[in-house]
Amino acid sequence: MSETQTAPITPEAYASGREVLLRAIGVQKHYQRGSETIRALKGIDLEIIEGEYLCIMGPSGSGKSTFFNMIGGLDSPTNGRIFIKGVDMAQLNAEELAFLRCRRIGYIFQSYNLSPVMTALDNVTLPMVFAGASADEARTRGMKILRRVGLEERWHHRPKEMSGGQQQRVAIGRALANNPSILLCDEPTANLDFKTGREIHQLLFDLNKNGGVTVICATHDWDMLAVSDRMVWIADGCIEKIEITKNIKIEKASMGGEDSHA
Amino acid sequence: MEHENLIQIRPQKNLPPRLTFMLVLRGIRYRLLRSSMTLAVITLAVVFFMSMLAGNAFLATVGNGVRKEIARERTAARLLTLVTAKPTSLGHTASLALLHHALASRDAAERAQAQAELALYVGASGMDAIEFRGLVDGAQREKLLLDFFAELDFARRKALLGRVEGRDALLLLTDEAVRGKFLHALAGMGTVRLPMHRDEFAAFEAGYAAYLERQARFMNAWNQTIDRAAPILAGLAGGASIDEALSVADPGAQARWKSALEACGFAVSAAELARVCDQLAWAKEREAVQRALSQPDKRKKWRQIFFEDPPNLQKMAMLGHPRVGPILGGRYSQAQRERIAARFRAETRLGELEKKVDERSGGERVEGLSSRQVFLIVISFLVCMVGIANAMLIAITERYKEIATMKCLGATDSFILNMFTMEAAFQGAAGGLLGTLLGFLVELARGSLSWGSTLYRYFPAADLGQVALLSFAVGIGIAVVAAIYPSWAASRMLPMEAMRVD
Ligand SMILES: Nc1ncnc2c1ncn2[C@@H]1O[C@H](COP(=O)(O)OP(=O)(O)OP(=O)(O)O)[C@@H](O)[C@H]1O
Ligand SMILES: [Mg+2]
Repeated sequence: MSETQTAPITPEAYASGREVLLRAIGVQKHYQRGSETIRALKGIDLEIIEGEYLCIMGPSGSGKSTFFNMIGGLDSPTNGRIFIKGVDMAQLNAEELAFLRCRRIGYIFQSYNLSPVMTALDNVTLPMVFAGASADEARTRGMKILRRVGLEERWHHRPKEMSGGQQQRVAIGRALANNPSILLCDEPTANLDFKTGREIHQLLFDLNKNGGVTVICATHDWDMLAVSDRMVWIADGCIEKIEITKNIKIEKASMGGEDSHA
Repeated sequence: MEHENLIQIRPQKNLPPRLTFMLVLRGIRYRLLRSSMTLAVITLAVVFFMSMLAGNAFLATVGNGVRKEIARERTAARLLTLVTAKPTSLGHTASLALLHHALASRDAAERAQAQAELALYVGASGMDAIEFRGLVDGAQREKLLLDFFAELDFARRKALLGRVEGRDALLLLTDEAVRGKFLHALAGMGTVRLPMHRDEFAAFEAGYAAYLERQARFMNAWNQTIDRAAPILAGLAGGASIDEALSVADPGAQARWKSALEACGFAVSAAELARVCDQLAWAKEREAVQRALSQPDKRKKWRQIFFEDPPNLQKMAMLGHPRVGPILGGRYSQAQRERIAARFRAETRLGELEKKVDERSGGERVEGLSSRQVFLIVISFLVCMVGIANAMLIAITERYKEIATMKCLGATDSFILNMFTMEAAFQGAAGGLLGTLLGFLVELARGSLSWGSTLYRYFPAADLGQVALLSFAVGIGIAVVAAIYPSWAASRMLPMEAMRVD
């Protein structure tokens, strides 16, 4: 395990001189269920570089979502610390966490979580409203974002009137509303078919490469590896290995969870 | 290295209420339909409240209207009593206490009549208006206290006052030491309350002797007024009794009576006197018909024609029947009989209405809610609030994902709290509107059934408007109060719930 953590960062990242955006040090999470303690995370150390595209993979129940909650400021670790650009998340109070969630992090959920009563545009502009943007400003920026995700002419449609892929694109637009530095996606394509999933991957890839957004993506979808820079494999609450995607692409077919090539 | 790159993090600002309101407004149509359970409970509570208040408003106006009609029907009796009777001292207390009440009536006509009566008494008493007004106020307090003592149960009265009763008790209590002991004993009884503040009570007792003296003076003056009037009125009646004479008075005679009454100190309007004469004539006519119907031969004839012999009241109502003419030996024309029957039926109906009003209101004037009604309303509101809170809690647990997502997007706890409270206010408004309307319709149906057309004659539109506004506000109020806990629970929901997949 120690050797996997010695080569965590892409050479390109170092070459570009980019900073560490997120740093997790010894993150543990225990859930108490009655007398039994569930150790969902058993000590995660990870550095995430600004502007990279990171895939987090692993079997179901391995702790991916739990780790997401920690780095997204949605829940606090039992032990260990998480820094976002040098700020210790544990030091933030409720209002500061709300601020962080509003402007620094964008969340994308497996089940889209759009408000069914709002139009696409309203959904996208909701975080802007929370951030205190004026109605006009929110509107223009919202339309720009909708154009970016390819749904400009659908701005007045409600989620019910859109396909799953379109809904997820609205959700991505909503996550981008306040120009976050990080996009956290928890299985964004799990509810979508292969082709639509690929469109989402392309969109995320585009945002990462041309928009400079750091994308962290939990997924079971091997196809997503194609667009990512690094892959973190979590099993049973521990990081089992960290790979640079370029190196494993050729052996994709042989990837079955065993780490013979490392 | 990290310190140079610290990202800027400030506390998140709360969304201003106006924007929160706009967000709530956006989803409200959808929410109102989905929260039908909450809406139903609020509506029921408001229906209950509204129907109780509206029922009271109906009872109050119909009751006052009917009482006024009755009073009008009894103008003659009142005038005759006024000009001939010599009330006892306690009788004066009772009538002055009633006058005190009427002077403060909400009804302008009743107030005006009370003012006229007051002027009459002041004129007769030889006192100035202020002194007499003092007598009226004293009478009201005396009546209150006498009623209070009369309604005490035997054991308590004995413990408080020994064997003394009525005015003797009031006289006994003028002594300060006795009064002190009495008040002390009363305070020990807990549930029994003096009908006035103890300072007011002390002031009344201190002035009681003077009050009695003043009342005696008034009684004396009034008796003299009656005595002075008696020969004049008897002379005008010319051997007959006063009511006999008035019942046959033509307009000319009425004018003479009017000036005679005024000369004796009893101001009466021409219209009022005409009404008195009409009522006396009618009473005579009715009695004559009833007497005729009671004669054995007429009863026999009635039985021959109708195969039964009902009580006179029933016969009076049937007087317009063509076959009744021959029974009465053609003494009354068809038109006459029809008129008598109609007036008799109207009189009976008024009597029935009065009975119903007395039954419903317990003989009291309906001014506001009774304490029993207030108790019922409070209990029903508590039950409803528990129901609403429960329904809202369920609605909120259903929306956990939406709430958590909003928190992921930057919503603060207090925004969620405000949002849910506002939604509750909307639900309350909708339920309030619906409930007010339904409650009104229910009560209108019930009121029409019990009062018939009388309800529309005394329709309390203004009162109902107030009551409706109040019910509407109550709908919003209970919804908002009931929403406090569920909204708080919603605001505490963890943002990580948004990640959950179901
Ligand atoms: N709130 C909770 N209370 C108790 N146990 C929890 C809770 N959340 C997660 N767990 C447990 O923690 C472990 C990790 O769960 P997690 O949801 O992080 O897995 P995952 O990797 O996201 O799985 P999947 O791929 O199915 O989404 C699981 O064993 C789960 O049962
Ligand atoms: Mg998961």
